[in-house]
Amino acid sequence: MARHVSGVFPLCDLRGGEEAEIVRIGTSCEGLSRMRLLELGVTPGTRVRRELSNLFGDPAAYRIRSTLIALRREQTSDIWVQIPTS
Amino acid sequence: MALAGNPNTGKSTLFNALTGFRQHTGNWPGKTVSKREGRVVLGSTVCRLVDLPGTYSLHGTSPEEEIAQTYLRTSEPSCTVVVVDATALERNLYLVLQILQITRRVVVCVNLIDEAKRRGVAIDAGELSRELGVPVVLTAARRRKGLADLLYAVAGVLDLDCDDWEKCTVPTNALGHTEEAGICDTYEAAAALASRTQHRLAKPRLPDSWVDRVLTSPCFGFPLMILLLGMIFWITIVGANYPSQLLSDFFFKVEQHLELLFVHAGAPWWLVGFCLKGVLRGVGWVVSVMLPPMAIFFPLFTFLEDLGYLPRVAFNLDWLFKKSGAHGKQALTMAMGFGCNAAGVVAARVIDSPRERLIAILTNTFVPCNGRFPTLFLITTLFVGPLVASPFFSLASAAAVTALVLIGILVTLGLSWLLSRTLLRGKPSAFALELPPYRRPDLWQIVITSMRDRTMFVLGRAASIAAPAGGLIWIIANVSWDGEAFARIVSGWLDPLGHILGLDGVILLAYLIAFPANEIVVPAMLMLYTGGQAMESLPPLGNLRAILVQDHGWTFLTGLNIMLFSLLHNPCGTTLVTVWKETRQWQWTLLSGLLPLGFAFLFLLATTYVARLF
Repeated sequence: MARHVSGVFPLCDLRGGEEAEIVRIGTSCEGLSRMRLLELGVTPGTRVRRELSNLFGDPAAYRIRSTLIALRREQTSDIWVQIPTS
Repeated sequence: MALAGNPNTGKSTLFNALTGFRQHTGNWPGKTVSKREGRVVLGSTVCRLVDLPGTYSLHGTSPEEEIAQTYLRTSEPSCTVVVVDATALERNLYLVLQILQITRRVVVCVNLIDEAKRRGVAIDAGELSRELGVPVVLTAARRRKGLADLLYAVAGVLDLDCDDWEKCTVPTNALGHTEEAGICDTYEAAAALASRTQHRLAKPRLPDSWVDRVLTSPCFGFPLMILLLGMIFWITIVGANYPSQLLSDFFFKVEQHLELLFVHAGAPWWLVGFCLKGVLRGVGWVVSVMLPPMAIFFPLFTFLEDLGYLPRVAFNLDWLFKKSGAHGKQALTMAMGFGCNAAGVVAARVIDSPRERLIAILTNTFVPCNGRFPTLFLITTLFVGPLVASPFFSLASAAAVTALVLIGILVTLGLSWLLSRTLLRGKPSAFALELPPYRRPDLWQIVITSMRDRTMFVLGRAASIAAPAGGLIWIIANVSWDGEAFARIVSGWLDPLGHILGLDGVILLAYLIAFPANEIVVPAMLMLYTGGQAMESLPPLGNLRAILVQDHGWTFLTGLNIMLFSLLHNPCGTTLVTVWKETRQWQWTLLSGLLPLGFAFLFLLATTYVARLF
């Protein structure tokens, strides 16, 4: 549970069924793909829940603003989240 | 009048409900990237309705968004209906706020209100309308609820002057455009607006999560996918057999009667031959071999598509595509290829990265299209089915077709891997795939779209090519040179190559003739074998095997290689033209033809070599 203590961790480490709040999108994700994520509603403060993982554990599907969206590990490893305290 | 909205909000259902199927939709609905048009009757006037592609935003980072944005900005529709998914209000309001920055002549249509109710969400249309300053209508398009209200609101907007629209309380003009902060602010505004206007009636219940957990689960995801595919093939094979025979009998009867008529009228033998044994027989074969399997396969496939299963397939397979250096949405373009490879090539537009898009285009031919499925069905019924006891006959055939499709997918992955390490080097780009909730498909709509827009379209194309091809075959089978039919001379030239590949010259010649459309491979083959001569009757499918094996020396290897060749060889002429249109570069077009052909040759050389060792 080390990641929970340190507070902020990458979205790909979120476990199935867990919910977290987006803190920021890292700097490695830029340009068009960054815009894409933002336009999908991956903005700071948004609640995200991991719902599905496939055979290989990648991609995983997250519930973001009521829609189920599959993201690859390349992206989710640089989306930083924290478990909300409340 | 325009129709805009997020993907999967029931926009197409609404479009069909409003236009009442009066218009011809795209041939391959689903992931269309262009806009389509229809007509709506509004009181005494008829209004042109343009269905824009589904988008999440208007910032123009993808082709769909660009189309939608350009249309709203340049064509200035007199009314834009923004379709909003009631179950994901905040996400959808983001697009509404963006559109309101461009135009104020908007009606917000909150659709899927029945689904929202089931999930315990109620939406206050009056409050939302007050805040946005535009009319808001609640609808359930599939049950045709609220459509009259919608048309009434649209008529109201059409009657008003632009200047009346200054009542919106959400400060949309202050919101940034493409800046990161702007996006965040707009989303925050949308979220706040959503929470003010929707009320939770009950504890929110998330939809179909257990179904998805099974269908995409690590243990069951793959087997279920293959099983489902196999089941579709099995139903098609079992169901198509009998009608195929009926149709072929019917065409033979027609041919006999017409022949009597022709002879009675004193028509010369070559006219009878060309028209009846050439053109008519070519069309007859194509219709009887293709119509029944397509009429069964297409609706089944459309059902899965409308249900929302295809994105799950892409989700299951994505890791494999990523490892091959390809885009995750290539699985979707592949699925389109099952219908028609040309459509699959066009569908590759949904992939932004030019590199990954080319990979998707170059490998699309490895999924057998509908023109080739009948060939696979027929050959498996002739050569794989008889290997097992009769109760399992059709099951074995279905399993064989499934296995072939899996081989095609493996080849797709392998070649994508090879391409992304040689000609098209690069890293897989980021992607996001929406997994829409499962929706019970509208059966009536499935029947209409799959029959009219798919079956009849493909069949029409096949028949229009089969007619001249049938005539051509009759001519080359009957015009002789030094006492030998022209067809025999050409197939004689091709025989050595055919032999190396485990086929024969006639089969290769049939593939050459069928270049414009793969649908006519089997009919061309049979007509070349029978030389356009009179037959007592068209052989029933059971006897077909006897004819091919006894008279023309076919073996199991021949059957296997025909299927492999059909699966792997070059795309048909239509697809190649489409590749050229999409890439505008002759070298990619050439490669998209030669690469599969070379690959097919290699594969066949290998199977033939191995088979002849024993």
